[in-house]
Amino acid sequence: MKKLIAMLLALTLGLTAAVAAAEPVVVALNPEYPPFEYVENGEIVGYDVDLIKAVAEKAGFEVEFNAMAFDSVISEVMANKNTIGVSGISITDERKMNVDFSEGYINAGLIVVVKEGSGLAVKDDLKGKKIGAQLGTTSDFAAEEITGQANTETYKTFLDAIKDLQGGRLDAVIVDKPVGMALLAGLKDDSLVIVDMGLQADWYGIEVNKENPELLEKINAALKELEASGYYEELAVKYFSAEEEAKAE
Amino acid sequence: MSIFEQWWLPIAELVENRQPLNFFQNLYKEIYMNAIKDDRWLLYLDGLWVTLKVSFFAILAGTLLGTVLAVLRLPSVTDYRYRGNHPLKKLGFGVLRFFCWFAKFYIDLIRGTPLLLQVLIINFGVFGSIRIDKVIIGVIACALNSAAYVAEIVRGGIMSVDPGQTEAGRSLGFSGLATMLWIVLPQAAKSALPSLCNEFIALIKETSILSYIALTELTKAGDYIRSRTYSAFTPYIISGMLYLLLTLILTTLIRKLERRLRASDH
Repeated sequence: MKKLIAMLLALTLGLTAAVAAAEPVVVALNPEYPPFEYVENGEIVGYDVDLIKAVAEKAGFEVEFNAMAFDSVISEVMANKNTIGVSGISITDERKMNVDFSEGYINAGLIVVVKEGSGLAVKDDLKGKKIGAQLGTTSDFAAEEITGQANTETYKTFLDAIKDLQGGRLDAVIVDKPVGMALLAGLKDDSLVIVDMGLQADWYGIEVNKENPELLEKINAALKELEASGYYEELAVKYFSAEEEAKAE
Repeated sequence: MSIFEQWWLPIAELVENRQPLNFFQNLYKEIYMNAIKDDRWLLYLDGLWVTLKVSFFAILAGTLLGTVLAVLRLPSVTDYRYRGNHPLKKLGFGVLRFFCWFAKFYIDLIRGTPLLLQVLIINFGVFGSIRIDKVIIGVIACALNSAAYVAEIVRGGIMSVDPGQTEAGRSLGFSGLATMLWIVLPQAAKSALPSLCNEFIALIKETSILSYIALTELTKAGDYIRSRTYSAFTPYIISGMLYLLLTLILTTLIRKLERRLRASDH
């Protein structure tokens, strides 16, 4: 019996040691946000995924992906020192109170999706209208600022908001520009149009736990190198070309 | 400035300077951020009100529909074969047998699929392009779901009533329907009540699934506040306590009702 316990103990210790040695950084993300992160053939892929893999390679750490709802990403990062959030997250002052951000890596901008012929063209047209957005995103905050909390419908994923817009239950949906472009290109629904109302947008950044400044430094250094090497443009060509085609049509 | 804000000021300073908080300061920070600041407690009450509305009407409609389904599935309805030649009566029994088959099919279908999918299908499919209040969609989805469970509970209750009661009613000159309504169902309700209470509580909690269709009920209120304050779980605890309050009130009421019904037992 004692031998058995000793063996079990040794085994557990061995295992923990093995885990501690590798210690991959956990990437929290919401893979329902093409082209930034989405699931294709059972794999999580996208702009952010390529980017963080490149960053990890430069900075010399392993990554492990952990999919969840977008509004859970930040609390996951806050709770775990070794978790980072890479999920098309805009850098905002309120979020900065709770986590640290890397340097911004892309400025996406917000666009408004409306029904063809709705006549909604500028920001003021949206006042008092029912606007849909994904809960906890900058689109959500922008919608609330424009039309008030009572008229803002928030969804678990922005796709559900688009479905309700198609069904005529919303007047508009606010979403990040590349995401909206990719979506409309894929949806092929002529009843929806994109309007750029010049809504305030923020840079996307990587969320890092406040108690892990070493990791933040490594990530920032890697981002700087990648930017200098032209990797951002490479990614843009890879993931936004469908959107450019859609715009040209 | 309210007293709550005065208590908050020193803690806010600590947070600003990135000083560690002790347990009580942290607790107050969580409560202040998630319930007091910007009058956020009102959002929970709004959510509670929506949950209450949806639950109340869903329980009401679900119980009515469930009782109808239960009666349609009774052996006296299913096993009776009309051997006469009257064409109208023949048709009538044919229709009843169809309803019985439909009730079985409906119960199997609803019990065998997740409520979340039913809600999503009803919202994006059935009512996909109709602009109606989400509260109504929530009531419809929850009532349709609950009816299937209530049907089986009520059927069990009816079957626990001695067949002699039906025979007595019929020989006293009551019609079949009147016997069911005034003699059998009241007695069935008494024995079904504990299981029904279970189902009602389950229904109240399951309305939380409606947050998926952007209905701002109690769970969504917590979700919403969490997306603003970035708290890990405090809003969920507040929402959870309100659910508990709702179900405890319901349980107490039903226990009282049970006691009243038992008073005639002796």
